[in-house]
Amino acid sequence: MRIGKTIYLDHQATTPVDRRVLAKMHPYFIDSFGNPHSSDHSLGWEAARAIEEAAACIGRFIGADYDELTFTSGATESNNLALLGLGRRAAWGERRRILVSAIEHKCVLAASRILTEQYGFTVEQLPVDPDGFVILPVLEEALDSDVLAVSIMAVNNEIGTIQDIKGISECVRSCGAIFHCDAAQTPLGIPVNSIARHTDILSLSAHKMYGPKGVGILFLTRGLENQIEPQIYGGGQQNGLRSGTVPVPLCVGMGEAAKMIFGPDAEGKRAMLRRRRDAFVEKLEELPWPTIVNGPKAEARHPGNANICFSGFSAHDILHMLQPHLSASTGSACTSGIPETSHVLNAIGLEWNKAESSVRFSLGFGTSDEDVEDAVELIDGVLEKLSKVDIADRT
Amino acid sequence: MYSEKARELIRELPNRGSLAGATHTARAENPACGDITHLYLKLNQDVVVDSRFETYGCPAAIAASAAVTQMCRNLRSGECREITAESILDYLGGLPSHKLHAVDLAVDVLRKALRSNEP
Amino acid sequence: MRRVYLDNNATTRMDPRVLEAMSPHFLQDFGNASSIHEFGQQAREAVETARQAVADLIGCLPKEIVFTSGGTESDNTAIRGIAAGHSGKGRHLITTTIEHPAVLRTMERLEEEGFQVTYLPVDRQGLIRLDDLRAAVREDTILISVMHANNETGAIQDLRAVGRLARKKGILFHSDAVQSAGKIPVDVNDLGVDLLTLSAHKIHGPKGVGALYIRHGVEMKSLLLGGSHERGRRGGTENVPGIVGLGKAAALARKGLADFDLRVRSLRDRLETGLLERIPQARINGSTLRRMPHTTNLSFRGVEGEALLISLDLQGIAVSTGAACSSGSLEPSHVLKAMGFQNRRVESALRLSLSRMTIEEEIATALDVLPSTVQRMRELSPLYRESRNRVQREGQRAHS
Repeated sequence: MRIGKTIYLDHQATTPVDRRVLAKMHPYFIDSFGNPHSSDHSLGWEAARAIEEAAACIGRFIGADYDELTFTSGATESNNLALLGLGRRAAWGERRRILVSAIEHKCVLAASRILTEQYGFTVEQLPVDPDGFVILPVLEEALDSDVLAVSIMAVNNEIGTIQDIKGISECVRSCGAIFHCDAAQTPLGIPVNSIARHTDILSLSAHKMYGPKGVGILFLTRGLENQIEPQIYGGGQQNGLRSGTVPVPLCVGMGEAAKMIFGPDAEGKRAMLRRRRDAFVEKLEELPWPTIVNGPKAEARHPGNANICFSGFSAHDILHMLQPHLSASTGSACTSGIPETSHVLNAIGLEWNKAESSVRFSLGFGTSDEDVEDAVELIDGVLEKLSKVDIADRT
Repeated sequence: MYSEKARELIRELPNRGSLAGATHTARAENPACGDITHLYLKLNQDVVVDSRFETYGCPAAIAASAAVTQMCRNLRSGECREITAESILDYLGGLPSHKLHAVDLAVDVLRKALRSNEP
Repeated sequence: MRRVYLDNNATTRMDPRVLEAMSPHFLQDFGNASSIHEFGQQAREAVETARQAVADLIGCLPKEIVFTSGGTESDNTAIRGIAAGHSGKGRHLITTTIEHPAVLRTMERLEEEGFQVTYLPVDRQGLIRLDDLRAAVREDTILISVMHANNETGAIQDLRAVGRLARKKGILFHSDAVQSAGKIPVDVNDLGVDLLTLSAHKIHGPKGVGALYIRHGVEMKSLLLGGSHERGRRGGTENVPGIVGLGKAAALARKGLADFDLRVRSLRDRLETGLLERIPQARINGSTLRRMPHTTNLSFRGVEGEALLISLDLQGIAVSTGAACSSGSLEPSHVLKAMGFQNRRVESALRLSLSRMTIEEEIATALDVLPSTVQRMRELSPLYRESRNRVQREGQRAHS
């Protein structure tokens, strides 16, 4: 997909809002603008009903009842609420350990640091194999009756690794720990219902599935609501789990996005996405430049993700030179403001210089064959230019 | 959210006010929320020929009391005693879950009124 | 049926110009503001423009503004952030009994965690007394949180005086200005606040976005942890369209301040005076001197507020009994109770709140419908009958 003349290959950072989603949101900005918590008048009721419908819609696709879903401001807040919520409620409990994978999103790692510093939990980072998979025997070894929770993302944002959530879940549940799964990257990648039933708590974000920014959900299996301490206190909305006026248009947008991305034709779209991604990688490999694909083989990988190491080149230079024709990124968007080596690439054992040469391309449902071809051509051109600069530098 | 029937009763407030010539009257109060209801019945040969109510309270309390005045019309006192919280809720087409207690006040005032003229 | 909307303190209709400003950021300029590429940079620019607009509204530097998901998150961030960051200095906080639940519940939670909180009372006008505040200040007080304008009565606290005291004593000062910023002049330096809460959807901006002003140099802990967004103060992908919407709403509100004070005030006054003239035994709750120009809170004797409200709603008029934020059940207003009013007066209160989008026809319709509705509800009310009888008896006794 193109915006103006730019090819957008950064769908794992954020997706545009689908036109149908925006159309559905529109009336809730201007006409049905009521406060959903104004229980006293019909404008408020309309808004409350719209939220319930949106929740039911999302719930249908992940096999949850609408009241098992809590709207948040996004996956970062959902992940914070899950981990800090569990930790704070169990601060004086018997279970003192929390396990997370080494390739979790920054916000999971940051929240677990707080659990260590302020609440005295031992947070252990589980290593991953060179493809980014959590090593089940290592997880089994680490699990014990003193583990409160395990947090492992379903699909990695940088290298696209799709974890064996079912297998992980069986291990975790057998020791009575709570399993939280950051599923923010799943919607484009895999059917989320295939993993939701294996999780106790699940985080999703709308803006990674053609919905609006500023909204996400936390799915909390019934019965766990008392084991989570709220992070935001106030008017007691959403059963007191998350106070604050629920942003109606955003929730409606997420519900509509769910309908599309979890709908019956999603599998076909993912297959198409995989085909284009594979073509993209193949074409890059045919170029006369050294390319290595970081992360797992195609089957166990997000169908839109390609993390490519261009040995000898600087990823930052490549991205810079590609502007404004092609948008991609180095690892997770949240840290790219400040250049630092990706903790994910580090965790899969990539040497520092290889990590610095790696670019994440993430294709979306709107990416066309032509986009793929043009992107490869653009990259080729940039590498060509950069190689000359390098040679010029060297001589 | 209120049902169509409840909204109609709240909008129209049928049978509101006191009733001169009432044969049976009662007052009931819900101590928890402070809602007050008065019921006025006029029985002729054991049949309710007129009924009025006054309520200070939430919309649900008003709807439930208004419902009772409509439901008991032309009934014998024995039949009036068969009006229950459930039948009022049915008549109203339900109430918001946190307002269900409002029908208890209506049942209470009806039972009291029917007893009010016993020797 | 034309709807009359007089519940603008709960939420406001979004200004079409705000939506227009947001629209491109959904479909075309949708980048993640933390991405280094063109899209990201366009989004970043839009976010920074909005930050400037919000800063201009309250007279601070752009870098002192942190974007959040709304007023509730801002309040939580401010109070918990200061408590966690300054617990070494002390564990005492001061607030008022009439704050928004976002402040009150956070304070109560801190109490459970071993902090001590003083809740300042208010007088019949809904105002705190400076002497009470002076008396409450302790060596170990780390934060004073006093709301600017109350959401139920519109009463405006004397923040300047609070700010002076806080500054003198070296205590940080937070104010929830959700109901005032964008409607009356709010200048953080003039008021002497260190932290200030803002929300977009109360000033015709979008729901799901707000801001927290944090004075440069004030140290605190973050509530939402994530990447290095918002200078490390608030994790999570920036809600770019929302932030752009807040920026536009702030800019429009700033331009409209004078009009708000003039036109909205005159509409409110016409509504209030008209109701008092047409409805006997109606009384204003709270200060009429130190009050927002768009809010009036009235009690109608003998009428239960919620019943009146539903009845009005069935006639197309949206109003409120007070705070909207609760889980469906209406608790009697903690604000009016704190002002010392009897239960019955609290129960019979109605809040009417206008906005710059309120038009004369709405006021006219309200003046037409409200008196007859109150009258009808009173015909139904045993309490009103009793009080009327009492008045009549007393009248007869006075004559005889």
